[in-house]
Amino acid sequence: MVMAEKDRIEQRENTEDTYMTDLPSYSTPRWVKVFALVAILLILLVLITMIIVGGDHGPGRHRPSGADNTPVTLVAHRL
Amino acid sequence: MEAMIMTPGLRKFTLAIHITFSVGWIGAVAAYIALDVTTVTSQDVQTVRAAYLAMALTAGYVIVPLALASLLTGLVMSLGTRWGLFRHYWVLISLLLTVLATAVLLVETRIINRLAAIAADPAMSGNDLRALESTLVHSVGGMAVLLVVMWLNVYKPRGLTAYGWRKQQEERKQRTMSKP
Repeated sequence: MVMAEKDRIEQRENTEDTYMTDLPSYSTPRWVKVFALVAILLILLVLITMIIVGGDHGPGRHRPSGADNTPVTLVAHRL
Repeated sequence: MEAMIMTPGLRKFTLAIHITFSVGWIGAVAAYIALDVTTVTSQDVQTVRAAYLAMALTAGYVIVPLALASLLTGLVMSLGTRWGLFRHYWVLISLLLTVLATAVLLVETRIINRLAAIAADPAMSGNDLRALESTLVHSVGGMAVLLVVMWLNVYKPRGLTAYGWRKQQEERKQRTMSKP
């Protein structure tokens, strides 16, 4: 009895994609639209920040700015 | 693409592995952020040096393997159950965010290794180490993305993609036609 109930739960979890079956036509869910809007705003925010800060977003920005201008690769080879 | 449905036992086993890798990934990033914060805030040169080395080891030997394993087991879970890979928005968005996080991580790992190589050089002074830019923004951003993916996977918000809706309509038609 317990096993049968467990199997039913597992079966339901495994086939739990039956929602929205009664919708007559396709429409994008509201949460997806909100999610996409937030994602676009965040990407714009990052781009604007990069432009204001200087836009240098590559590995080169991690080089030391002190007096030692030894290329990073040479430092790595010395180790 | 037709999903090959796993048996309930196999599905649960794969799910357990997927959760282990995914939550492990989040935990490893949390540990990495602690080291990252140390490189920004600590005044002790040896502590900063050690933190950079630990960051490289954590990223290379823990975070990257966990990320790849999480991505792989996530694909297996999607394709091995009726959820599919492109049928539901929560699965599709989770996949895209996980691929994005893994790609940024792989690029970031090269940068972290370079920073660790610089920090390991005894000739580098405290000022040089403090001049190195932090990866904190990326690691905190990565953590935010992982938490969003976790939220999507736990709550599974409703919503079929256009492809998922079409497939569902086709399956319903077939079921109706096969009925006597």
